[in-house]
Amino acid sequence: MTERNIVLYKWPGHAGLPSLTAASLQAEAALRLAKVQFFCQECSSSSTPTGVIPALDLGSEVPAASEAGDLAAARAIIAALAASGAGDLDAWLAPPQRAELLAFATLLQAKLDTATHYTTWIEKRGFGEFRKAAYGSQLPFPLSYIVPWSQRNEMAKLLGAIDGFKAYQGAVEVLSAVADRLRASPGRFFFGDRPSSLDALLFGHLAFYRHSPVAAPVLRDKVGRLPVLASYVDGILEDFFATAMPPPPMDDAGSWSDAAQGASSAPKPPPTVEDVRMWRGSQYWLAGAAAAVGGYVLLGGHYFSITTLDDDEGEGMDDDDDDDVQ
Amino acid sequence: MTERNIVLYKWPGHAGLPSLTAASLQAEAALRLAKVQFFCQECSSSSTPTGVIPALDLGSEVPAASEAGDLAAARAIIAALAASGAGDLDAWLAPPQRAELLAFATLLQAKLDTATHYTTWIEKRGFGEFRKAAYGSQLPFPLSYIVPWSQRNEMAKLLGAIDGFKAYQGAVEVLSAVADRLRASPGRFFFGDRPSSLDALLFGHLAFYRHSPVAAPVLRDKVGGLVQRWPAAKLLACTSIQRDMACVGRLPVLASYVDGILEDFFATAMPPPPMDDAGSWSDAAQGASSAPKPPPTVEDVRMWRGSQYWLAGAAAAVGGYVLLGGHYFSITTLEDDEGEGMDDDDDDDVQ
Repeated sequence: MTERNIVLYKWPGHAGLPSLTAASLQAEAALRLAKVQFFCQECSSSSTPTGVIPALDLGSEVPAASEAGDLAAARAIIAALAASGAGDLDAWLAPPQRAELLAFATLLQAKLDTATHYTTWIEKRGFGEFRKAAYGSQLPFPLSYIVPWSQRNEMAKLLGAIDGFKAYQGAVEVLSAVADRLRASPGRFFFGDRPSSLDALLFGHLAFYRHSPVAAPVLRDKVGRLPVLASYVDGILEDFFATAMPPPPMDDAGSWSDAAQGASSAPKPPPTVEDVRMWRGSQYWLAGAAAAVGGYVLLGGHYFSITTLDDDEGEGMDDDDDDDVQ
Repeated sequence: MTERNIVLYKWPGHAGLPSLTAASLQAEAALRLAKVQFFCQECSSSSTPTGVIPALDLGSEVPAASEAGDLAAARAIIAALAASGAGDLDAWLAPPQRAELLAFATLLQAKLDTATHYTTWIEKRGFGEFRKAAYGSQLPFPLSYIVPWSQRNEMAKLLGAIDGFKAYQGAVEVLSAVADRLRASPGRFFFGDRPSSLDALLFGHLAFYRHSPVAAPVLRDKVGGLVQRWPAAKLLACTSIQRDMACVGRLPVLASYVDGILEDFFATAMPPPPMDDAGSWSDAAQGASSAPKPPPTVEDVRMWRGSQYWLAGAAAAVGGYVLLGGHYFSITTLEDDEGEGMDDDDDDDVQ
């Protein structure tokens, strides 16, 4: 199998979390739970191939989501990982478990996504924390307010009118349900001892609620007060996120000039037969053109005329004209 | 416990189903699965207390949904049933099962609701069948087109822009997932031998897809209608590959689930609500010879007397104003000498 570099573009870590947003936590968790070898590129959202964070470069493709928003991008990444064969987290599930996964994934998408988006973009204090962590150190003063403000408007338009109370209410209800289900699980993950893509999605939201200052207090308290959720999150953080992934290797070919790489002079390649023929033909053409121009100038009569002199005229044309003195 | 009449307002039956729409099937299934004694009122949507079908009259309240649409009304009815204590289908579930119920109910709401709405209101043929069944026989010709047309516009605005392909694709995916889950169930229902509210919601959609002509063919085939289309002789005449291709999409577990519930729980039709005589008809219509006058109470007498006093006082004030006010006629007293000299002609001073 050819070696391919899988590069994950994500936010830098913040407040003890490996990444700033729930979506990039989801994508990173999917890669780590599947035990895929990948490289981490920490950047801001304008530097990724798709323009959103998280983004995944699989070498052969860059998965892009059909819907807007970073949580949709994370879902597209997880689906592309499974399809590409690099790391399919759900391959071991039986059909009833897949059905349950579909149901719970839809529940998370319907309720937790809304609450996460609301607390990041619309909640005043939440957005302030997000802005400080994401842009505060990278952009100079006016831009560090203008760029996030325009993104916030874009997200608000995308999300439409969300009622904050309903969003948090729904999320709290879902957290209780998920805790009930996790307690009944035979293993440490949702469906047993092996992880699934649902664990990746769930971990992203739960870790975000538990540790991030962007998350609303109602969500943070709920995860804290349900010990099964807190131990779930902390267990995955300890076991799977212990070591930081290295940044992608530098690609040297083509960036630096030869002089920068230490050559003493630009090496001239020997001319090929084609080159010689081309050079000779061009020389001939230039000679022909010069001859045409020279002939035109000399013989055309426009610049100076060359007339032949007869001998008697030439004899009588010498010195002074004093023969006919009268 | 006081007797209360629980009345369910629903569409009349159609094409072998007890009701026309998925939502009223859901509401009726919830009542029947909970073995609640109720009455059925078959009507059209303008005659219900909430203006949508299904509607439930619990006697003490009429549950109304916060969102628009009949499927949201069905969900509100099921929630109100559980809250009122008349029939809580989920009381026997353990917490993990409740969590799974929440997840699957959200999945149904996200995917199957969309497909059901699309095929009923936006799909041309589907809406035509719905209109015929719902309004064709009740309203005269122009209205039987105008009223549904305006409702259709309203529903289209409510639903927004739905992509039909995506809607059906999502529904088919969910049906496969639900079939997988049902096969693994320990009993005949979703969570075992006893029904839950999820079974009511699921039954509504599945029965609608299986039997109703309003449902799109892709949905009907998925639930297991393929057997009806291909006669047995033709199936036998196919090669095995052709048979496999024809059988793609058939989910017998869903078909048997739907038919089992229909047979066991929907065998008998529920009676219409009893006529409510008190208050509708006048006393004369009920046969009284004259209107009975109730004896006046003490309060009545006091009120009457006080009003009489007030009227007398007002009349006195008006009369005094007219007589003594001097605006209408004046009454002056005549002095005697003037009166004496004021008689006949004035012929004393004739000079």
